[in-house]
Amino acid sequence: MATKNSTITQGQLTFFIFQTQIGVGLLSLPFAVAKIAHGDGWISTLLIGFFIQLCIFLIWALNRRFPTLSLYEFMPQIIGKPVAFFFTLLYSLYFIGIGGVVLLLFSNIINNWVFDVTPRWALILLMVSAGIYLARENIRIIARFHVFISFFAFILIFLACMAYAHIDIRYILPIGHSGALNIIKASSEALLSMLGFEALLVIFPYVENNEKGVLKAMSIANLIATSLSTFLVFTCLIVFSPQEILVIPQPMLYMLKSFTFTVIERLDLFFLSIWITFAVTSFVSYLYLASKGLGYAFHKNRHKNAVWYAAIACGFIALYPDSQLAINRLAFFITRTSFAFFAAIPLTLLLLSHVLRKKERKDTAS
Amino acid sequence: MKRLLLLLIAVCTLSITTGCWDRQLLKNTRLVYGVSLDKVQNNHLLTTVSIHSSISSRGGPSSPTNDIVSSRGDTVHETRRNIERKISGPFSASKTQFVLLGNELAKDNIYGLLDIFYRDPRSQLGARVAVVDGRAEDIIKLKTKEETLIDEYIWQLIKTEEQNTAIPASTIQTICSNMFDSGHDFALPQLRISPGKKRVELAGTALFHGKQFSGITLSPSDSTLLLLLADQKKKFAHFTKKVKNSKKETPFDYVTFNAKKAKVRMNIDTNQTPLKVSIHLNIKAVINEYPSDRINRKGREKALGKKLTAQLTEQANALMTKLQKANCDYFGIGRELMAYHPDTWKKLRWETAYRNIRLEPKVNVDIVGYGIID
Repeated sequence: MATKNSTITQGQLTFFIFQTQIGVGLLSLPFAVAKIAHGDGWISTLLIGFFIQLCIFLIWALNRRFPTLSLYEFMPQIIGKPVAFFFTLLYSLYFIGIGGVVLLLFSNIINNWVFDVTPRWALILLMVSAGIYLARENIRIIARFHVFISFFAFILIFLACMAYAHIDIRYILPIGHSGALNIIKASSEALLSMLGFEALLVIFPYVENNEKGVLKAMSIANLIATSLSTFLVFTCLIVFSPQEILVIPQPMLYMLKSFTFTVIERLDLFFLSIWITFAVTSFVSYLYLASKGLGYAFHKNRHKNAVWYAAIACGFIALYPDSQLAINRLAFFITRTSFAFFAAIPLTLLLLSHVLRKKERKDTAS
Repeated sequence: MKRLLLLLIAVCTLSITTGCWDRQLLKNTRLVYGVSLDKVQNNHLLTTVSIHSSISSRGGPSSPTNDIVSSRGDTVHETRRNIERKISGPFSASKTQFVLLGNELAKDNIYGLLDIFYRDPRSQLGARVAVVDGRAEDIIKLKTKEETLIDEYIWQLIKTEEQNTAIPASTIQTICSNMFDSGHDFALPQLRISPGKKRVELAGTALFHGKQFSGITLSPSDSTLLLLLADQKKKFAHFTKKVKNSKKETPFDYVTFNAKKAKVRMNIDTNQTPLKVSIHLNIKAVINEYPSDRINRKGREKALGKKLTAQLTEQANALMTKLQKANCDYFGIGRELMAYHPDTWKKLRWETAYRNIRLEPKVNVDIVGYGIID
């Protein structure tokens, strides 16, 4: 249950979700969607945003029945303690897994683009220590950091606009040329970079006045995240010719690398240093969500005690793959399983809670 | 206890943020500004580079000099390693401003040569690429040209000519998009050493098809017209045309004008076989030099405009023949078909079809200004 000084406003919720959604995955997003949907990749990105909106409805409908409880706290009421304990562990593992993938992609990109001699563990250690430092705090402090960092998004948009000096709109025409099936297939590839909205499952009870307005705050977050990704994907698709983008895994960075200015010669490095903060916020969010679950299961709901080993577990996940192929496989696996955690399980819980008429009882006093 | 832990984290973090693994001291690295690539015997590659360094005389200001080094190898990277054995510090291509390709080499697949520039995160994608008529290393070996270092000299030459719309403004990155695009070809500036004198000059524009130099070079005047037709006008675009026929050929027969504004409209008629592509170019011209006559009379500027219209249209027609001979789809007609007429595109084999389409350029010149005298 939320205590008084650990609540967040609905505005903070918007930024929290936005920052969790926008992370390292976005750098590879144009490449991921272009592989299947080619010039129609931007439609896939819009489509996944729409799909996520549906999932937000679902999660909201579920959490609304238990306004002061988080996922970990209300699960026992619906499915009984032993099963709920198992699912709490499963969710924590899932959040740790995503945290690990964020670390992995982050260290991999930094390794490939900037520090090619620096060992990966050093980069991961840096990120993990920053993550531990922030994720130990309560949600309000984390959310404030996320709000503050969000202003960097304007710089990213500004940098992306530079590309409009070298575009060819014909690269994405005719619209719909890759066919509806491929567009839908590609949107599943886009999922990894849009994950983060499922955080609502856990942070719902911490939002002030959560009887109303949460849905609006969530929709705004999703709208901003979807528009930003669609804009970046669209920009990359009209900068690189269709066959060219298939050989460039990080088109955003590559695009910026080719611009030269008198003051800043390598715009991609500038971009990357800002981008790191976006990776940190995603990582911190997932670390917080995971340790919340572990804290509930093992430490009498004190998540601080769990942050340590959750972060170390993320670090080991990130260290494990040793080749680009292994990295891709892991990211693929996490994306596929994520579907269960943000859609299938919440849907089952929602249906069960309706069938069993499980609902949080309102205090007569309030 | 808590504070101690925090302190421990802080110390650990600080000790690894110094970044000692990837430290590259500027004073040690040897910065390469210009690169030339040539084909030599047995299909070996020959790389010649110009390295900047500054020799500081005691107390006085340092004067920049350049060091020319060349080496052979089977791949571009191998030649770089071989060069590294001959110089004092690590080879750094992060400041490369241009890459010169020898004529023979450009006729092979040039993507293979540029691969290292695309793959290496430290390389400079904004560097210009040019073809050299003859051997590229000869230009770098000029070393200095009247107090100016050769790399600086070529860089400035290319930049100026880009502004004059005499050569396409193509960097390593922009040509990459075209190399991967089957419906859009590119062209690169061609340099040569002027006969007799040890000076570099612009020969024109080398037309490429796919990833290879077609062997056909456009004259500087044709290049400007090509760029105008492709809607790539930069600051200036000058033309000199003969408009009178007096007995002696004096400057009095000619007019020089600058295309102040150029508007292009491309039209593809897919109903016709072969495909008909008409390109309309509308030039608003300002006279720069016209010694023989005054223009400020009714009818005269119109008459002059008409003459120029006819001449430029004729030149454009000849230009189209050259483009088709080179199989260089510089206007991206293939791309246009893919985007707007996908059904037609699927029926065509562009590789062979481009040569047979009907390209119909139409240039129109309107004189809108004539300097500060009449």
